[in-house]
Amino acid sequence: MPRRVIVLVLLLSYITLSLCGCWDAKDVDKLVFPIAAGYDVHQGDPGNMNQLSIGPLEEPQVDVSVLLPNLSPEATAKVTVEVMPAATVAYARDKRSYTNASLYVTGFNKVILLGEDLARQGTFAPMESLYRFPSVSHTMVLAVVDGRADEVLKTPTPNFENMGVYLNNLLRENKANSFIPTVNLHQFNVWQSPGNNPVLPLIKPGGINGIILSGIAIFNKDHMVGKLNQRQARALTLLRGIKSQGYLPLAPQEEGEEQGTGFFDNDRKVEVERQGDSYSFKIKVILQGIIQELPHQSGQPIDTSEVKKIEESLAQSIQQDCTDLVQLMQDEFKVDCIDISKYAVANWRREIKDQVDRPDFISNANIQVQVEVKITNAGEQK
Amino acid sequence: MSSPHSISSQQLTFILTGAQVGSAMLALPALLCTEAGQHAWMAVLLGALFPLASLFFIERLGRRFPGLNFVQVNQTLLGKIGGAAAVLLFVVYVVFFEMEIISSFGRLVQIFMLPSTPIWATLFLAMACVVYAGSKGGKVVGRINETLFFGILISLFFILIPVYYVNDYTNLLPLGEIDPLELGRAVLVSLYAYAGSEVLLVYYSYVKAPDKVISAGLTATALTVSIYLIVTLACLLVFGPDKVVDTIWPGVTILKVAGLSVIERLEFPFLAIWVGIVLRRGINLPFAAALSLAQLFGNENRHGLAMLGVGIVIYFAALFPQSMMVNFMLVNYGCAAYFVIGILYPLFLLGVAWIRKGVVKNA
Amino acid sequence: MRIIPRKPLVNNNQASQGTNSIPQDAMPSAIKDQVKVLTPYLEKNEDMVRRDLSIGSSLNITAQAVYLNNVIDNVTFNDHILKPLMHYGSPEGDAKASNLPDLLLTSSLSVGQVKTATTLNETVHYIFDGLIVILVDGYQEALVVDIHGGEFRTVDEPPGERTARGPREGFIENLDINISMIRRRLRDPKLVVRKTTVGRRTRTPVAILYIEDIASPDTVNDLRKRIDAIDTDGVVATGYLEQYLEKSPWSFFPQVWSSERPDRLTTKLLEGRVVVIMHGTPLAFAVPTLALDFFQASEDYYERTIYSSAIRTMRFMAFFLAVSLPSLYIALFAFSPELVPLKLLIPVASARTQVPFPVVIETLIQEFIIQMVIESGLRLPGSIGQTVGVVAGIILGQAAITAKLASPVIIIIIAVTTIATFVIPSSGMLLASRILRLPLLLICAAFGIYGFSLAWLFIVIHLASLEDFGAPFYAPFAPLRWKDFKDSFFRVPLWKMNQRPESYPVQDKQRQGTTNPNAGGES
Repeated sequence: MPRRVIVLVLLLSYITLSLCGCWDAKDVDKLVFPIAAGYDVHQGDPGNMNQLSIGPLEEPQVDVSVLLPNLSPEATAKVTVEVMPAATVAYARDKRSYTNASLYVTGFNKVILLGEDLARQGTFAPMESLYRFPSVSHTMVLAVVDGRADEVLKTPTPNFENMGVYLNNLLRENKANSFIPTVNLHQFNVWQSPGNNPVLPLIKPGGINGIILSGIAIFNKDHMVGKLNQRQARALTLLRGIKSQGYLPLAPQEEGEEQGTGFFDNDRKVEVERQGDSYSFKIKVILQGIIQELPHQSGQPIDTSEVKKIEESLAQSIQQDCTDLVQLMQDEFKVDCIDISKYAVANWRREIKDQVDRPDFISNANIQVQVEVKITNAGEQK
Repeated sequence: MSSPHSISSQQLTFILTGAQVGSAMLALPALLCTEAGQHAWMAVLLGALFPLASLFFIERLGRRFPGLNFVQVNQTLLGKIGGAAAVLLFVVYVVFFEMEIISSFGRLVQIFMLPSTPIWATLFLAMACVVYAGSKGGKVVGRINETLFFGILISLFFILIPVYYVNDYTNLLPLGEIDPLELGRAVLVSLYAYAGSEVLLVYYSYVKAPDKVISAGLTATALTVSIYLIVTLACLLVFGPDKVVDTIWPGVTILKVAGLSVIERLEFPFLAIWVGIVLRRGINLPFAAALSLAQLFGNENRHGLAMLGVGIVIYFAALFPQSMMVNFMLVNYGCAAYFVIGILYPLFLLGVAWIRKGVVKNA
Repeated sequence: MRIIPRKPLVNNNQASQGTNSIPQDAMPSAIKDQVKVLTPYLEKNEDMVRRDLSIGSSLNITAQAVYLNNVIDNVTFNDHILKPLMHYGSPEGDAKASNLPDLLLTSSLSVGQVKTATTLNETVHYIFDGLIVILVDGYQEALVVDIHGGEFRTVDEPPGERTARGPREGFIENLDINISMIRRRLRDPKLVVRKTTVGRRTRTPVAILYIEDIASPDTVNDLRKRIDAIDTDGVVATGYLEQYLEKSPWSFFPQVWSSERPDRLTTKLLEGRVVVIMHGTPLAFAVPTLALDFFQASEDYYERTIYSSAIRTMRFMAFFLAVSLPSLYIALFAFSPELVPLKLLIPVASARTQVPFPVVIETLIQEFIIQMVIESGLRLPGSIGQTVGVVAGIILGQAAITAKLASPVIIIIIAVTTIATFVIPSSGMLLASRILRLPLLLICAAFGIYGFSLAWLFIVIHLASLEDFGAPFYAPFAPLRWKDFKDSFFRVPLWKMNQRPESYPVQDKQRQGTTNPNAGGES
C-alpha cells in the first residue's frame, strides 16, 4: 500500500527530525543580547586583546564596543561594555568568542553609534556587515558621537536600566518633540543613492542622563563632513522636510518684549527648475502649530492680527536660520544635505544621475527658501 | 462518481496564481530594477503577455480535445511513443523547474530562518508537505490553493506596512525616460515570475466547467500581475531604483525597514506565512507532473505513488545546487524552459492538431 | 437469510452474519410446550419474571407473561395488561375463538404498542429486548407488548453544554424520549424517524432522523447502509457508532459532531443533516459534519449577532492558541528571540538563566503536568476535582517557579493554553487541540517558526483532504463556499441566512423568505 508507506515514511522522518534536529535551537538564556553597539577608529593601547592579533590582515583598525545587559541575577553589574579592537567590524565577533561563549544575537541590536573619527573616515566598510547580516533589522537607529562611541556606552545613566535602553529611547523618539531627526539603518542606506546624502543625529556626553543630543552630523554619502549645532540642526530638519515636531520660540511683539513658545509640525515642498546646466530650487517650509505659552501683560485676547504678527516674525527668524544654513552648505560643506537634488534626479534621472553628487552641483544651484507659519490654536487661554 | 482530481474554475484560478507566485515575488523587484530602473513595474505589466499567450494556446488546444487528458492529447497527436516522450519531457521540465524553486526556497529559509540547519532537513520537511498534499489528489490540491491564496493577501498587507512609514514618490520618477531595450530585457526577466502558468496543460481536463477556463485564467493572471505590481512598486517606493538592486530579496528586506509596536520584526511572521505560499508553487507543478505520469502508466488513481516518486526526485535534485549563485544561473535556464513548455509546446501541439485534422476527428 | 429479527434499513447480508443460534422454529401451541422450549433460554436469568395468569374470568385460558424485571413499566403492566386480561370476557362468548390473540390485542389490552410473535427466535429476542411476551395456551402467537419503563434519569440540563438563554433540556439515555424531544420541537410531518438495531448481542436501538424533503437522499442512504454494515457484538455508546462511521480513523480531528441538546440537533435537521440517536447515550450526532460545527455553540444563535460573532471569532483564536501557544513559545524563545520585544525578552531570559532545563524540556514537562491535571480533574467528583485544579495551579506553579524548575513565563503560557483549550465548545475538537499540541511542539523544537508554519500547512492540507457524506470537512474554507461564511468566523443575523449551507448536499436550498419587516433587511 503506497499510502501506508508514505504515512510511515513521513511519521518516521518526523520523529527522527524532531528528536535529532534542533540545529538552530539556542535557548534564550544561553544568549547575550547586544542593545547598543559603537564603532570607533582603533586607538591607542589595544590592551590584552592585541595579543590575539596575528598577521597584517588582523591588525586592528576599528574598535567595536557592545553594550550587553547581564542576564544572571548574580551579576554585580547590570551591563557589560565590551570593547573589541579588530580588523573589521564583523571580525570583532571572532575576538568575542575568546572571552564569552554565549552566542551574540546580532540581530537584536537596536542602536549603532559611530565615533566621529570613524564617521569622517568613511562608514561604508563598517556598515556593510549590517546590511549583509540577515537577522539585522533595518530599524536600528544610528547616531554620530561627538567623541568616541565606546566612551558613550560606558557612561553611566542612573535613571535608566542601561545606556542602551536610554539611547534607544532618545534616538528613536526624539522626532516627536524635537527637530532632530531619527535616522535608522534603512534611511542611511537609501540616502546613499544619487541625489541623496545622509544626516545623522549627533550626541555627546552631558545632561542629566549622561548623554545629550547636540546637533546633526552632515554626511557626504558614507563619510561625515560637518557638524551642526542644535539651532542649525533645527533649520536643517525643516529644510530637509523630515517630519518632526518640536518647540519654537515666538516673538509676539517687538524685539525685547515678552517671548512665547509654540509647538510645531513641519512639512516642505520643493520645486525645481532648470535652465541649461543651472538649477534653481524653491523650498517652501511649512510650519503648523499651536501656541503653548504667550504671556502678555496687556490682558488683551490674542486676535488675528497678533497671530499674523507672530507668524510673520517666526517665519522671518526661521527663514534667516535656513538661509544661513543653505549658505553654509553651499560654501563650506559643498554637499546637498537638505535633500533637494533628488527632485532634480526625479526629473532628469538618466541625464544627471552621475553629476548630481558633484560639489559644484549644489554650490552653483540657486536655492530660495520660503517659510510659512500657520498657528491653528492658542490653547485654553484667550 | 466524479474524478478525485476534478476542480472548480475558481480553484483553477487559485491554482494558476499559486503556480506562479512564489519566491519570485520576493526577488522580482531587484531583478527588474537591474534592467529597467524605475520602469520596473511596467515590465511586470508587459511580462503578463507571456502567461496570457500561454493561457490562450492551451485553452485552444484543450477545446479541440474535450474530455481528453494531457497524456491522451499528446498520444493522439504525437502517437503512442511520441506522446509519451512529450509527457516525460514535461515531467523532466517540472523536475528541473522545481529544483530551482525548491532549492532557492531552501536557501531563503537558510538565510532568514534557520542558518545552521542543514538544507536537506529543511527541504525534507517541505517536500514531505508537498508529497502529502499531492498524494491526496487534485481535489485537495485545488482546495489547498484556495485557502492558501489568502496567505498572499496577508503577506501583501505586511509588505505595505513599511510603505506607509517610509516612501519617496520621487523614486518612481521620471516616467518618460523609457528605453525600449532595457524594458524589453526586463520583460524577459519577468518570465521568471510568470513561469508556472503552463500547469494548465494538465489541469485543463479536470476543470468541471471548461468554458470558464479562459475567465479563470484571466483572473489568475490579473491576480498575479497585481501581486507583482504591488510588490515592485512597494520596493521602488521604499528603496528607490538604485538601492533596490543591492539586495537579493527586496521583498523580504523591505520588511526589515519598519516595525509595528506589536510586531517589531515584520519579516518573521511574513516568512512564516510565505512558506505556505511558496509551497503552493511546490505542490501544483509536481502534482501536475505526477498526475501525468500516473496517467501515462494507465492508472491516474496511483497519483500518490507517482507523487512520491516525483517528490523524491525533486528533493534530491534540489539538494544539488551548492550555492545561491548556482540558483541564479538556473533561473535563466528556467525562463527559457518556461518559454518552450508554456508557449512553444502548446503552439506546436496546436500546429500538429491543425495538420492532422483527421486524427483529431477520430479521437 | 436474515437471522436476527430486526428491521433492516437496507438489505445487507453482511450485517446479519450473526452467531445467533436460536432456531427460527414456530412456537408450539400448548403452553406447556411453549414454556418448555423457552426455558433453556430463560432459566439462567434470575431477573426474568414469569407470571402465570388466566385470561378471562370465565374462559380460564392459561397464559404466562414473561418479561425482564424493571425493564417494563410495572404500573402500566398491572393496570393495562394484567387487569384487562384477567377480566376479559368474550363479547360473543366464543371461548376458543381461533383469533383470540388478535382479539385480545384489539379489544383488551389498553396499551399503545402491541404485536404478536410466532417463532421461537422472535419470542426470545422480544423478551430480551425488554418487551412483555404473553404466551397464551392453545395459540402459536404470543402477545408482545411494549411498555418500556423502569427507572430512567429524568430530563435534565445537559452538563456539557450549558447555556444561559437556551432551553435547559438535554437528552437522556432513553431513545424514545430523546426522539420525542426532537419531535416536540419539530412538528413537520416530513420528519422521518427510522429505527434499527446495532450490535449482535447488545441489540441497541438506533434511530435515524431526517427531514425527508431537505436532507439529501444520498446521505441518508449512505448512512443507513453504513450503519447496517456495522457487524459487531455490541455498541454501548454513541462514541462506538461514530467510530464505526468515521472515514479517517487516524485523523487528529473528530469527524462526527455530536451534542446532548435536542434544540441543536433540531437546527441541524433543519439544515438538512441526518441525525442519529442511539439508545443508552444522552448524545446524538449529525452527519455530514463540517469542521465548523465544532466551533458553533447553541448560544451563538440565541444571543444577538454582534455578541455571537465576537465570541465566535474569539473561539477560533482560542483554538489556534490552544494548539500553538506552547510551540510558539519554543519558536520564539529558542529560535527567534529577535522577534520578542526588548522589555519582555530581558526579564524572561534572566528568569530562564536559573532554570536547568532547555526551553523544550521545560515546556514538555509543564505540558505533561497540565495534561495530568486535566485528566485527573475530569474523572474526580466535582469538589475533589476542583481541589486538584487549585493544588496544581497554584501550588505546583508557584513551587516550580520558586524551586527554579520552571520560568514564570512557561507557567503563564501553559495556563493560557489550557484555558484556551476549554473555550472550544465541543469535546471532540477540544481533545484534538490537546493532542495536536504535542506534534507541533516537537516540530517547533527542531525547526522553530519554519517548523511551525509547515506544521500548520500540514494541518490545513489534512483538513482539506477530509471528506465524508459528500461534504468536504474543511468547507467553507476549502473548498471556498463564500455563502457559508455567513456562519463561520462571524454569524450574520438569522434573517439574513436565507439559504441552507452549500458545503454539503441538501435537496432544498431555500431556508426562509427574504423578509425582515422590523430590522431593515431587504423586503
